[in-house]
Amino acid sequence: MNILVVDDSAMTRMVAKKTLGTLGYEDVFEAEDGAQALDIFKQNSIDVVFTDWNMPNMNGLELLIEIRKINKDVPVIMITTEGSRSKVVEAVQNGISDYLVKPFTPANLKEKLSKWVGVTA
Amino acid sequence: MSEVMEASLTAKIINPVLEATIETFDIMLGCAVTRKELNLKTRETPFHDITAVIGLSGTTNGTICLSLPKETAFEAVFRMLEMRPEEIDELVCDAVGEFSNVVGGTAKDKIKDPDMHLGLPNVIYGENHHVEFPTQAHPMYVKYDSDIGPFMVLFGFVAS
Repeated sequence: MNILVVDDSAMTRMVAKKTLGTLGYEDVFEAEDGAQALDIFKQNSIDVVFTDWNMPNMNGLELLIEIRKINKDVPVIMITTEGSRSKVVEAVQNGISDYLVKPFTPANLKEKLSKWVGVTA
Repeated sequence: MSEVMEASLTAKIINPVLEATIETFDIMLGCAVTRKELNLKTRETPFHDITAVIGLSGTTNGTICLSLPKETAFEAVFRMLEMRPEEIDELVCDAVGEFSNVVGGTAKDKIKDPDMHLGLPNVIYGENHHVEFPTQAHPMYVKYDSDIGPFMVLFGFVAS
């Protein structure tokens, strides 16, 4: 399964990739903004996207809109903080599948993957 | 602003920040934290080696800082990524900024004031760095001890 993690924080991407690795998911693509993520999405068969919301170049909402033009079904999961929950409403209106609140644990990630892709690594 | 109002504002904002700090250290770093004394900050109060600065705006103007000795920051990075930095580099700054962003986001949810806004953290480092607080504020700081070393939270704000 191919997972795309999008966040302008290298640390968050590394933590997510490491955590996914411990869960057995090794095919993880990383992007530091929406524009880079969209290129990766177009060039690869991505099964699930985890994306930050506040990013330079192309933010999470703009990325979501572009992805939905290409693929209406792929799970796109918003990574957010507790303080940004208000943005979840806007995200849902634009077709987000779910959201993951930072700080997240391996169990949180596993729960989202089980829910949206229905398989374990 | 009266002392009573200031004390009320401080309790409204800083208690959630302090709780959020302890929760974030626990969840992100698996790290037990012990809160120590609350002190008034003066210009002579030194910051640690690396500091994340979060601006407050809206109903409250001010600044909240998370300041860490470099050894504490390096250990935090090690706990998250299993790699140990040897200097304050881009990754360490990113980690401290992102960590503070999570503290701020968690605190904002607890404060429950939709008209108070927390900005994204800016990270500064180096010897004798300094952060200005609003001139009418009475900045304070709380020291912590933790499994990965000491750190402190500094804050100063006024009602808009």
